[in-house]
Amino acid sequence: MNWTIFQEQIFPIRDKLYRFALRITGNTHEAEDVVQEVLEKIWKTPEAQSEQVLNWEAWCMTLTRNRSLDKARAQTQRRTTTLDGLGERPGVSTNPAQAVETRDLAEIVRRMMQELPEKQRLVMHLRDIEELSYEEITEVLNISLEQVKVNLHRARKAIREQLNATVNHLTEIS
Amino acid sequence: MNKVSDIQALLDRYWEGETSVEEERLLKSYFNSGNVDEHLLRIAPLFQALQREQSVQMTTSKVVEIRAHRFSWHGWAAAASVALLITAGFWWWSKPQHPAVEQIAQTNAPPQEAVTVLPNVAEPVQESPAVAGIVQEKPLHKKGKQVIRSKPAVDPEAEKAMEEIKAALALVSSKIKKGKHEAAKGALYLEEVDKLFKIKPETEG
Repeated sequence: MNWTIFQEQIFPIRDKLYRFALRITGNTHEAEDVVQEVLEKIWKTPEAQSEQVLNWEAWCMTLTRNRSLDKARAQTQRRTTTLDGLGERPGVSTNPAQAVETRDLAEIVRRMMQELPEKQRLVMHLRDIEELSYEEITEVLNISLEQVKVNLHRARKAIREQLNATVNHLTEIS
Repeated sequence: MNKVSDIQALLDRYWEGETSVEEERLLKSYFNSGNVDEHLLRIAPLFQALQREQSVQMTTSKVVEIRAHRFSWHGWAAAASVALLITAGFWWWSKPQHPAVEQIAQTNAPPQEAVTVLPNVAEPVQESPAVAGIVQEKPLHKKGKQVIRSKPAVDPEAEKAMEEIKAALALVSSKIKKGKHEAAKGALYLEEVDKLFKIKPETEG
């Protein structure tokens, strides 16, 4: 790996990689591990191989996705076997009741996003938070353009409906 | 722009997935401006959440932790080497009849001081003929190692112990050599990462 590329193109997007890993694993420690491993893997990439990479960001995001999914699956298996932490999503700072009480609706939305089905969650994250183009999303998630559009539409619609319902509920009780 | 009707139109296109990244940035900016129209207020938390999520950053502690973890074996290897050297040194120096000890004592200090550290010398205040005699028998330039090998009366057990110590040191040495390349590469990577963290405010600010 060329140090200039690493410094100018890879390192500045580490927070982006971290957020994506966090979206998949739902755990800050796991996400940090993923980023560290991805950065090390990229750093050790042979020069010949790294010369063929056209879009570094998409490539890094793909590596992050793969590593995060591995971790998330291992985590699910661990939880299934030990029945530990069921119904609890790790890495969440506040509980929903507290968020409702303090009217922290943005926090509630964050939780809603985290509860979306995997594809919808990742497509919405890559578009609405990381601002990737549809083409880049197809590359990172290895899905068709049509799938990107469908999942994004469904994700936004789901959040809109849930947010509406929450606001209605809060209006009623107050 | 930023008229309520324009924002509403953008929002309608957003739900349909027809907005560009620039238009979506405009929506985020509007809903986070603190000046949102009453009719649109209920949707504001979505764009506030998106903006909040965009600012989530990784902490740097992990890099430091990994650095400490990665080089911990170096510490153990160094400690093991030092322990072995101390053991070897102790065994070496504690041999009371060893000419090399007397030779070094003789050359490093006045005779009176040298004899006080040697328990087998009977006359501490005088220049000891025993010490002088032994030293004269062995040439001063001879190294300790050569002296041991040329001396037939060396304890075979001690010789065996010495060989074991040498073998242990050789093992430690080979381990250090083996890890040298990887460690050097890792050290370079981590040093550069550290540099980046240091220059972060300039590059990002």
